[in-house]
Amino acid sequence: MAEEKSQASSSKMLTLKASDGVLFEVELNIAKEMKTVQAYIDDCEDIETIPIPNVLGKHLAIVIEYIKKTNEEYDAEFEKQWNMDDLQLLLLAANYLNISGLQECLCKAIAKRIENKSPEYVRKVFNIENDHSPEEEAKLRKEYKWAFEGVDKD
Amino acid sequence: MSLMKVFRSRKFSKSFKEVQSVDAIADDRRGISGRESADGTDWSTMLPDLLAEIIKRVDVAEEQWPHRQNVVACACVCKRWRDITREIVRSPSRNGKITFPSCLKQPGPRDLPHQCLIKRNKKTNTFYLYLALSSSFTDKGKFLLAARRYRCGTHTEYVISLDADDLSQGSNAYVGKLSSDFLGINFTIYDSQPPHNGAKPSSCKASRRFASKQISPQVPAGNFEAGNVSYKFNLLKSRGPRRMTCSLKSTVSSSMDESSDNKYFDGLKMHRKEQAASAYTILKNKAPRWHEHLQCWCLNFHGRVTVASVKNFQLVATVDQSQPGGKGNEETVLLQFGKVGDDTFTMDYRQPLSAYQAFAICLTSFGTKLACE
Repeated sequence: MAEEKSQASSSKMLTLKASDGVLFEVELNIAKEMKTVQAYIDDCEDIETIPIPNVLGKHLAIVIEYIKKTNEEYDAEFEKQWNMDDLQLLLLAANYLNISGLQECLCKAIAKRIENKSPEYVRKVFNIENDHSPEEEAKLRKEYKWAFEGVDKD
Repeated sequence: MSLMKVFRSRKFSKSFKEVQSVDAIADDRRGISGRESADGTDWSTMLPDLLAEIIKRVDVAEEQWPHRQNVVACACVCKRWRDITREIVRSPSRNGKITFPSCLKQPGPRDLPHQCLIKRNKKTNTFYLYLALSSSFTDKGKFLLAARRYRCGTHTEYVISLDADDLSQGSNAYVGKLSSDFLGINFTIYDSQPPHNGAKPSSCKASRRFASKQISPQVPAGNFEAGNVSYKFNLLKSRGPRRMTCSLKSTVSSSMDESSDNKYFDGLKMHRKEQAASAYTILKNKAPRWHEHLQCWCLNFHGRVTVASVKNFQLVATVDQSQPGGKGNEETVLLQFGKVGDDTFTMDYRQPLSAYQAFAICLTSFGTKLACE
């Protein structure tokens, strides 16, 4: 009996519903890579549609694709396709869904985009406002002067 | 719909918090007009945990200079990034790493010393300190500090600065100075910053002129006595290595200012100010051995010093506040200095010495010493 049940579960399909209503049918073993979903299933075994209220369909699709294809080669190329906005939303999605592999991959990718860039460039790319007062800015230039030396021309 | 409510109310370990904050970000997007893009992605309000994960990866990926500059850049982006970056850099596992200029006055690594190079320019009486980025003595390293020697009447001064092109006491980049007596045997090390709260600046004749904008108004201006170096008078023994003693006021490392994992320091925190006022590190040079066969005095520099010179030395501690009981380990070389080329010297230092202290001590080795070999 137990064997039959596990066989049935491995081919069981689950529906994930993104925040914008887009539906995704995934195999259980794929869905289980998302620990948040796993916890949900653990509590309600016979659930068929799981709402994912924080992730847009566009990003959920990318996440599911990642889980299916992840390997060293795929991961290396994965992040190159996305702009900063998408990277952030994907990171939030990975964090919410609790997919450590994807979260790690994305954090590394984002860290890489900071390489050899000035603080001003980082602010532009990440869309961050400089909240330092002029005095604080002057203090920064002294305290962290090494950040302003010989960076890539933006 | 009731299932939806159940889902929302679930506490999935950390994911519950995210539900709230993502909603908050979404509200922000709708409520605030102005600078958001259509997606409203706002990294400055990014979850601190996730931001820390990103910056940690920058820190780990960029351990060595010149890439370590990226970590410094993170600290400048905005206040939130600055706080998170400082937190990561200050963690005990990153101790001794040189990340910010302020690290030059923090103790060096506990185990393997930082390997540095000092380059001398005889024409301009200037000395440059670099962090070595490779094992070659000719490669350019990461520039750390510069010092220029000035003769002031009966004594000599070395002004030390973060800026290789601006070596005046009034400069924003001024970090301290070294002052020697007429004989060039006794030296005082001054720090532009107080070693601890409540310290009073030394009164000295050369008054400091400031740039119009004082960067840190809370810090009293002036030069604070930070230590002494003296060479033994060698009257009778015309041969023989010179002997040196250093006493340095212990640097109160920044990790002591916040809660520290190190239980040893926890107990000291309460009386830190009083203790800091009297805590010293005392160093003396390791005596070379007379090599009968080679007919010379020898120290084992482990390949880091290749030219014999009376300037070469190794310092060990007799009093070391970073060790239990304050007793120094006289077998461990804490500072090693020696010649590898006409104007090139290596400087290797470790905890409890800082790069600044090490550099100042090495500078005392230059210049003629009357009545001393």
